[in-house]
Amino acid sequence: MSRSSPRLGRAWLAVTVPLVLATASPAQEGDPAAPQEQFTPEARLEALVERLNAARQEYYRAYDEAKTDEEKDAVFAKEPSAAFVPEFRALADSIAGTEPAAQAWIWVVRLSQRVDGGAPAKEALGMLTSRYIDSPALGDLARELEYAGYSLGLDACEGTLRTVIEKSPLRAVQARAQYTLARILMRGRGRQLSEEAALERRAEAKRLFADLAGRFGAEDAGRGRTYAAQAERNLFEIDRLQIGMVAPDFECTDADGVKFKLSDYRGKVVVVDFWGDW
Amino acid sequence: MLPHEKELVERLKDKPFALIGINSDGDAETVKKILAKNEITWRNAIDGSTGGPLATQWNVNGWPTIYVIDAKGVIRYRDVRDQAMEDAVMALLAEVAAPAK
Repeated sequence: MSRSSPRLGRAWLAVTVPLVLATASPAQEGDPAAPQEQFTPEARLEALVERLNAARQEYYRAYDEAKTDEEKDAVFAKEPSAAFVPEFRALADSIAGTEPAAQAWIWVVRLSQRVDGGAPAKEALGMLTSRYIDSPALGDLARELEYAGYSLGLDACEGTLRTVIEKSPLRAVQARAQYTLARILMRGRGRQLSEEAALERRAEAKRLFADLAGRFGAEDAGRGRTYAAQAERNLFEIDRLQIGMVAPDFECTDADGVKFKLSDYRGKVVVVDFWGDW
Repeated sequence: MLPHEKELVERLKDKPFALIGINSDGDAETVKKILAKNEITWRNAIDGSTGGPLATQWNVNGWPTIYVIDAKGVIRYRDVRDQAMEDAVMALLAEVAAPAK
């Protein structure tokens, strides 16, 4: 299942709309003659995100309409994320010190992982962990980093998360950062690791999940699950689902209503394929 | 993915090999229709949804997630697809034919 950025964008907008309303300003959007500084930081960020989303819609439409591989390549080369990096960066500078500035820096992280070797994203990580360490938006940053190891490197992702765990004053942000760090340690995405290093990282992941269940167990981890439940699932994966371990048996029912167990297939090579038709 | 799986299942039908789908689309009736539509012949467990009991126990949060298990029941590969999955299966079938001493 791919994580599409437009979906994240919409989820994020749903969060920011109440903020915009809460800080009602006499300046209204949609008046192109008005200088930008008249608008609230919230409104300026929202307007920029809307422009990004519109550019992406246009990009998807052009991509769908492209007929040949050459045409698709030409459209793909103009994917709009990179072009918006300087705009989010400039906005973050212009409204420095505000909550929307922290969110603009997170947009830089989101959009620039493959721009200039990730340099803008790394600059943004530095800003967020120094000037904006108190921001509640750092929970969103943690989510962004779970799969960023491929592009930004594990060190940048893990270093950022460790700083957030240590320095954020917000429990929800600490918990999300600790969960994400443990997930990265457990899966080791983005780096070839020696067997020893992988074992050591999984051991640290286990400590972090156990600590998470102890300190934040009853709190919401998203998708209606608690951190205790999420920790339990991940600990099961670390303890029972690693390469070289006997697969945990399960009993289930097939499409004809017949019960069967994985262990019924002992003596055969088995591919277990978790899938859906979507 | 699917065409390659079908071809592999057909080619290995006389070998000690099984592909087991763990399907997250819905109840048995729903899944039967999906299997018919896609001409899928191999066994599928009905897990009900992406939050089904097997997906939950095996900590699956991306689909497809694939584990390749040897004849002794040991997990040997994960997240291999297409040619990499075939290579994994063939390597493990070779072990069955000529067990390591």
